[in-house]
Amino acid sequence: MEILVALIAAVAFILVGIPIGYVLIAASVLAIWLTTNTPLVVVPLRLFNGTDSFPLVAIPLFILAGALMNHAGISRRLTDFAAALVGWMRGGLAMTTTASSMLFSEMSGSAVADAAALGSVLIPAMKERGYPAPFAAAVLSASATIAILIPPSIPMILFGAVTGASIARLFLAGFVPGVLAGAFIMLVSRALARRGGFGDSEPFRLRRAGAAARAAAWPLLIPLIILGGIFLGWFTATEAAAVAVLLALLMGVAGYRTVRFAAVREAFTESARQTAVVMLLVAGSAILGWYLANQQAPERLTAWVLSLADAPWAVALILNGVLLLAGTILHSAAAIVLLVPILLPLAESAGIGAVHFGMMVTVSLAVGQQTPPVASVLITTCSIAKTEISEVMKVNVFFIAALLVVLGIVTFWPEAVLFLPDLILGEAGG
Amino acid sequence: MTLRYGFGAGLGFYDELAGFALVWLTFLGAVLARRDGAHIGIRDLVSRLAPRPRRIARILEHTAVLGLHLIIAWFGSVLVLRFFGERSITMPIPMGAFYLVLPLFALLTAALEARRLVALIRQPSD
Repeated sequence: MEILVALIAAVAFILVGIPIGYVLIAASVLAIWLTTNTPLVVVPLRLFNGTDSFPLVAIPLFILAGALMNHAGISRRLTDFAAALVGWMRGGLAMTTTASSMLFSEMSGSAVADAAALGSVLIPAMKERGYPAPFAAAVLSASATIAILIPPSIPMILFGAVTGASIARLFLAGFVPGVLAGAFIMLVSRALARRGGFGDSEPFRLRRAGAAARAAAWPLLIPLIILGGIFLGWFTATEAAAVAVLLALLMGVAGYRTVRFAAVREAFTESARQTAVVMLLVAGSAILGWYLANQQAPERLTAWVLSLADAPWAVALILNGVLLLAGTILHSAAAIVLLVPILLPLAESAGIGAVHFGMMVTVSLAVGQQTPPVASVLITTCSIAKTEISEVMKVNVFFIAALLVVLGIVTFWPEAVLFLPDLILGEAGG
Repeated sequence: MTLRYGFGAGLGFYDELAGFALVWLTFLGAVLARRDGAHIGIRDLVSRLAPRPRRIARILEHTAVLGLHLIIAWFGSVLVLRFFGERSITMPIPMGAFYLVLPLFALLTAALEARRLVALIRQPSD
């Protein structure tokens, strides 16, 4: 009964526009106060412990590296390179959008940041060449979600921090769904462009590709260095993130000479703000998750679901359903910190290992970013394309369908995903 | 990492300090994000309301956030006082000093909210 009070209050708080991070904390305060005898001093303690984590230090560092690279003006270089590679296909600019998003995602780790940086270049270009605005917004939004699949990925860092799964393994496993998603999105764009009778292409020229590759050498090399370093075991994800910041500074200040002191300061403030937005959700989810664990929610949920269905495939479908739903209403950071500890025992009971489950979570949440009400990426691209979300959704359903196919592959054919970490890092439990 | 490779092993305090630095960054950044309206929330509903109910919703919002942060500030201070005698695991600094960020964050946010509330109430309902 009392828990209902907390729940209704939380919904009311969300509706009057209180940020979700605060609502998570407020709901926990109410629930702890109404249903337990625990002194409330546990709230600040959990807020502190929920954010005090060495693996999570990678998050502000990757965000900072991404911001520094953006200020150095890498988006133009990367899109030029992508255009030289895939621009010859039908709907060349749409292909370029997807390909540059895949390159871009290797450093920023945030889909919204990718969408904003690439969208300001590519959406006007697509509109100029006769692509419908809703299509332009949809293809960029779908492509930008690849950012959380291809490493480095903030949701994967969070997942690793919450479950103790190896972040290097998660990163490597992410390549397969990331590349698959990219390929499927390109196929869908081609079909849509053919049906709608739009889309341009330009002939492939080797010389242009070479020039573009040289111009984009720095932003292409940096992810290679940091990911290679992680996979070879030279450094942890957190240390790699620190290296990324140093390389990005070096590139912007000494390499391209495009980054001045004011821009560096701007990048620091920007990433402090972005980090706080993500981490406040993490902190709020950490308290609520602690409360739920105290109420034996994971055990009860596992027992309840297993009483309904105990076939592994059925459990996997239920997990996907819950995650997709969570992805549409929660930000991915909150969804991971809140739900993963509750759902992991259930996944393990169905024989789903931590890394496999991590992929299911990441792909589900990527799909969730594509659907309202909480569709941060979609909202970003819509505002750049100056079009309505409802119009974009008519096109976006095709991309969502493509991403759902990826989710199906990840869920039911784990060998297709896990072979990569097993091959490079050796077989391991989980 | 420079430290780890430069000075060799035995720098346990570095891991601990990095985690604490993240906590401080999170909560001080959260004040900054609140000031700039950067936190994620659903604002569409309120902004579609007519001016009068919108004003009421805004007053409700800021009152609730103010109340929440006063609670965090109070219990955060209790936490700081309780742990002022206890040292951190790797550093000769009391844990209470690190916990200080929580009441600080809560009081700064509460001050922001109070200022917005005053502005909202003073402003003639248009």
